[in-house]
Formats: sequence, structure tokens, C-alpha cells
Amino acid sequence: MTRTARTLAALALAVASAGAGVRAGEVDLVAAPPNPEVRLEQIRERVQAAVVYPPAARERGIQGVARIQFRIDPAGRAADVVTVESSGSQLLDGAALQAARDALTLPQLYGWVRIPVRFELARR
Amino acid sequence: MTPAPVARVARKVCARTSGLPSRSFALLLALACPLFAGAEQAEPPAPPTIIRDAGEVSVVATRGERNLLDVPAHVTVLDRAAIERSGAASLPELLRGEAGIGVSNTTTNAEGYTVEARGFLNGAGSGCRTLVLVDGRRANEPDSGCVDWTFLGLDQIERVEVIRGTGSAAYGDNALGGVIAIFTRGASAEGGTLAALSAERASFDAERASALVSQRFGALRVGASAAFDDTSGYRARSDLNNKRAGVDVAWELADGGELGLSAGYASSERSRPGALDAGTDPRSTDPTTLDFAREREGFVRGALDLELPYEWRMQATPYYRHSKARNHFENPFFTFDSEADNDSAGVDLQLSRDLEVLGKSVRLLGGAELRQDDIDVASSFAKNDARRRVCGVFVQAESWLRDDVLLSFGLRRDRSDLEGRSTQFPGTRFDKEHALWSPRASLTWRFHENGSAYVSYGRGFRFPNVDETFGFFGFSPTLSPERAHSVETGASWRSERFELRGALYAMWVEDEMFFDPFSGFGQNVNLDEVRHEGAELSGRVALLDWLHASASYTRDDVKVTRDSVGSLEGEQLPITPKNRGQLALEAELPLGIEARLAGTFVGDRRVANDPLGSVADLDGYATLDAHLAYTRDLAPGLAFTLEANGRNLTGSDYADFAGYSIFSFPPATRFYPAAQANWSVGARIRFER
Repeated sequence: MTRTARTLAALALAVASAGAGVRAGEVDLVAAPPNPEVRLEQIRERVQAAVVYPPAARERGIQGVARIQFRIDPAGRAADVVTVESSGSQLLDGAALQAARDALTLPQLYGWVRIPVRFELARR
Repeated sequence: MTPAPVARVARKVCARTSGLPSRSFALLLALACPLFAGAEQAEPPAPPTIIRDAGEVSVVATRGERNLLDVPAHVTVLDRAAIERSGAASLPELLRGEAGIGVSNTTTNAEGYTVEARGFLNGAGSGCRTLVLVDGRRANEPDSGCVDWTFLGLDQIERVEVIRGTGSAAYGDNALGGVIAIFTRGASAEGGTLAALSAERASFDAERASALVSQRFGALRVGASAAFDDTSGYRARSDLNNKRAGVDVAWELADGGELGLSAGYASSERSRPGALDAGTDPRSTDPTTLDFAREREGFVRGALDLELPYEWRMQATPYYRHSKARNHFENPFFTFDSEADNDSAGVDLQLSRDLEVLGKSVRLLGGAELRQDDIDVASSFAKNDARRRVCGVFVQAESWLRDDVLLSFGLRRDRSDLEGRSTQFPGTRFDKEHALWSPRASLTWRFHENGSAYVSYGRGFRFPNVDETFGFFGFSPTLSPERAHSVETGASWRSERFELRGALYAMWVEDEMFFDPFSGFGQNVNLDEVRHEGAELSGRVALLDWLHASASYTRDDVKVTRDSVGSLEGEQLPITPKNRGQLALEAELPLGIEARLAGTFVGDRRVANDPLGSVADLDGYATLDAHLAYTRDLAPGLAFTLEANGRNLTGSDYADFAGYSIFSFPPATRFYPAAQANWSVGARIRFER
């Protein structure tokens, strides 16, 4: 590593530490965040709670699996919600996307979340 | 400058100038970037590239009730509320207001009704082309193919589905013009308790009463019904006395399936007042006839609805029906009695399941119909015995090609073996087999949440019935089944305040069976080709929250387009009017009062037995009917209704049916007058919990 690079690295570390604003002794007061797997499961549960089978698809006997992907914005809402694998039905794809948008207060999670949403009709 | 371009530049610089890994240098530059970004427009950060897969979200629902807008046919559903709102005295009178349905009556009582769809109301002598199902059981008589409407009281009916157009691909024989599916109140009851009583008094010494009870005990539902009606009829010697009773038991299975059994018995005695010469008192009877009939009917019907392995669902309707009819014809020239014993036994079987084919959900329906009719007729002249065996198998598939486009396809194969013998024509033995394919294909486009359009093609057929093959007038062993190519297109719109349905159809019927009065003593013949075409339009609109208007219009044009044997080419077939319609206003007034005013118009039509149009057409007519009802809720679930009806309020003097009689001397048109102004008052009590 050259001297210039070391200097820049040290500068960057200093800037990052100042931005975090964490002082020694305060760390123990913050509850340990759940691990990503737990938060992922919380996100899945909240999408599950929000998903609705479209009545038109129920009438028409349309079933399928839509895979959707989104990020969590700072307000805890799904952002940039997209379909990555269509169910073959716009009705079902739309319902899956809407479920993600309607899911309330999602826990923060870095990266994209990808969820398969299965729409299935029981025989009765 | 945005972070991403900065990172790209940094990567290029590093790669050339130092040993620092380009990713680290880029990161440092990116961190420093806000210091240099200045007034440049800020854009959201690049999406993170980490993808975390969550577990599956799954939503399971029951299949929704099929939306009428998805059905590729002109269909209307008349529920109990619509039936009560109509003030109709009988099911045929209720259907008279439906677009595409033609109704005529020869007796002024319930016995004389003929109800047909798509221009098949072509006069006497030929069987019926509208299949009528009561809780899935065929109501068409095995000998004539027609329906005895006397036995179908409105008080017992929960819902009527009217499906216009050929339904042979699904239902086989008789469903050439359409299908009328009737669901009785007992068999349709869903709640815990249903009890209904009604009584009515009407013009012409008419009295009607009915009772119905249905009770659920856990998984078991038990119901019973009884009804009677008695009338002297509008005309002299048009009296009718009718009694009906039935029981119904159903057991709901744990998986949602059902086993059911119902049985019923009905008997009636009716007089037939005959036809009148022009200018005769319409309330009189034909002085030369003393015709009457006594009919008995009993049936047992099973219903199985079962879940099978591999997600198949099976519905089976086995049935047995026995009817006995005694007919007496009497005029100055001869007296003629006949007694017919008809037995029908059969089973309708349906198997269905949803499949996944090429990523699409496909609804598959297959089934079979097996039926045997035994018809024994002993008359003053002869003894005729006939047996018909019918076997039909069918398959239907439908799939939503897109969320808004439904493709349906159906194919059915029917085979009929009619054998019989008659002493009327010595040495006559008859054994005729027919086998036919009936395909159907359709496309429905749901162009809007409230709207749809469809186009369909189908083949329909009707086998010659026993009465046509060897009936009173003659023996016609060479009669061929009539077959039709049918195309139609239609559109519907249904919203809370507005409904509109319309259809355009054309049918080319090959070998249409027709009673030719000039062939021998009159005989059923095949016409090479008859074209039925027309338009049907109906709608309902909420003018105000409390005021609705509904209207229907039908145009039917039924013309012989090929006739290589006779001389009927280009002629209009009788009785079906070219134009008819109804306009009604319905008001929901304060204090539980409902009022309805309906005007019905039927245009001119050729008289029966006059296919050449050599005599004057039967005049069109217009009638005005009114209905007033007062309903009061006496307790939760308990409602009491008083109602009054006025029919043909303007006293229009018209004939519903007329025929050119070759037996008159000299031959002349003879008329079957309809009732002039008449009324009814009644009361209903319903308890439902």
C-alpha cells in the first residue's frame, strides 16, 4: 500500500467513525438487532398477511406462482417492487406486487428480498 | 457526477497508476464523492446486489362462483327475488319477458304452453328444441320431447338459468335452441331453516296454494313441498286441477361433497277447449270437441357429488321417472282415446378437475349420459311400443389464455337407438340408429371488469322423437335428425346500476323437422335447410335508487332456405313472430311496497299449418300487466307479503296461437284466444334462518 493510499484510508475511516456518532459505553444500551434470517422471516410474514387472492382470478380458476423482488426503504416499506418471474397471469403478478407494497413496517434489511408468492385454489 | 461514474473513472485510474486494488480505490472515491458532487443533481444510490430469498408466501382460496360475464353464451339468471318481483302466474309467463324466448299457449291454462328459444316456436306437430332441466333432471317428455309446464310451479323454484343457443355439445338431444335450467327451492336451500307458505285467489275461479319446508340437522338436510292449483280457465272447458308433492333429503359429506335423494309426484286433470272460428266469443269452447287429459307423474332422483383421488370431482344424477297420460279426443266424426305409459331411467355423470397444461390452468370436464325411455301407447286405433336408448359422452376444456381471454372447447358424441312396433300400420317394426358429433368452440374476452364479449360456433341436433316417428297421423321411419351449424356473437355489461346483454345469432338447420299438413293426412317431414337468424337485447337500469326500468327485444327471422321436395323455399316458418319485446318499470316504494308495470308486445306471425302464407297472418298484440306487493318483516327472518296482480289490463282481445285447419269445412284459420283482463290476489309468508 502506498503512503497516499494509507492516508486516504485513514481519512475515510475517520469520516465514517464521525458519521456513526457512536460513543464508547452506549453500545450496550441498543438491543441487539435480529439476524437477517429472522428479519427475512418477519418480512415474509408481513407480505403473507397482506396478500389477497384476486376475486377475478378466483372466478376464472387462475393459479400460479409469482416471484417478486424488492428493497426495504428507510420508512420500512417495500420499494422498487418488481416481478422477477411471472406467474403467467397479470392478475396474480399484480396481487403479489400489491401485497409487498401493502405489507406494513418491514424490518430493515440490506439488499434485495426475493419472495415467491403462490396462489392456489382449493377444490372446494 | 454520480457515484457510479466516479467509481468507473477511479477503477480506470487505479488500474493504470497503482497497485491499490481498483475496488478499494473506487470505494474511497465514492465515499469522497459527496464532497465534489456540489450542485450536481442527486440520484438514488445503485440498488444493492445482495439478494436474499425469503420463504414462500402462499394464499389458498376456494374457487369463486363463475361470473356470468365469462360464459360464452347469452345467459340470464332469474333468482327468487326476480321471480317474486315479476308477478308472473307461471314459469312460461315469467319467461315471456326474456329476450330470445318465445311462448305460446293453446288452452289459456298451464297445460297449453310451449316455450322455445331461437325461433323454434314453429307451430304444432313437431317436438321441442329447448331442453328443460329440473335440478339436473330432464323434464322433456320422452315421447314428444316437450315439457309439461303444469308440473313446474313458480312457488317451488329458487332460480332459473336461461341459456340461449345450441347446447348440444354439453347436453345432447333437445338442446338445439337453448337450455332452461330450473333449481328448486328445497334442493337449493343453504340456511338452517326455510319455510314458505303461499295462497292465491284469481280470476276464473282460480285458487292456488303451496307449502315448502326445509330444515338442516347438522350435515343432514330434509325438505318437503306440496302445492295445488285449480281453475275453471278463461274459456269454457279450459279447467285445470293440479296437485304436486315432493320430498328432498341431502347429506353433506366431510369433504364438502353431498349425497342427495329427492322424489316427487304430480297429477293433473285438464280440459282442452279447442280452437275457435274467427268472430266467435273468445270465452267459448269449440262446440264440436270434448277433449281432456289426465296426467300422472312420479320421479326419484339421486344426487352424488364426490371427491375422487387425483383431485377429480364426480357429480352423478341417476333418475327414474314414470308418467301416465290419458288423452281423450272427441268430435262429431270420431272419438279417440289413448293411454300412454312412459318410463325413463338414466344417469348423468360428470367428472371434472383442474389441470396445468403448458403453464396454463385448464378446467377439464367430461361425462356421460345414459338413458332409456320406454313408451307404450294404447289407443282406440292401435298399440304402439317404443324403446329409445341414448348414450352420450362428452368432454369440455376451457382455459384462460390471458387474464382476459377465455378459450372453451367441447365435443360430444350421441348415439340413439329407437326401436318400436305399431299395430296401427300392420307389420310395422322400427329400429333406427343415429349417431352424431356435436363440437363447440368459443372465445370470451373480458374487456373490462364489468364487460365481456364472446363469439362461438357450435353444432346442435335433435333426434326424431317417438311421436314424430310414429304418431297419430302417420309413420315416418325415414325422418332424419335435424342438425344445425350455429354461430353467434354477443356482449354483456353488468354493473350495480346498469345491465345490458345482447346477442346476434345465425343457425343453419339441416333437415329441420316440420309438420306438413299437406303431406298425406299431415306428416312430419324434413326440410332441407332452415335458416334461423336474429338479435336479442335486454337490459336493466336503475333510473333512481328506488326506480328501475328493464327492457327486452327479440328479432327472429326463420326462413326455409332449401326445400328439394316441397315448395317451401323462401317461406317463413309459422308462429314465431319477427319482433317481440317487453318494457317494465319497477318501483321500490316506502313502507315495503313494490310496484311493477310491464308492457309486452308480440308482432304478427304466420299461423300454424300455413307455411305458404296463403291466409292472413295472426295479428300482433300488446298487453299491460301490473304487480303490487306489500312486504312486512314480522320478526327476524320472518316476512309476510300481500300481493295483487292485474294482467292484460287493457283487455286486449288476441289469440296466442292460431292454425289453419284442413279438417274444417271449408278449411279456415282457427284461433286459440288468450285471457282478457284478469287479476289475482295472494299472500306469502317466508321464514328463513
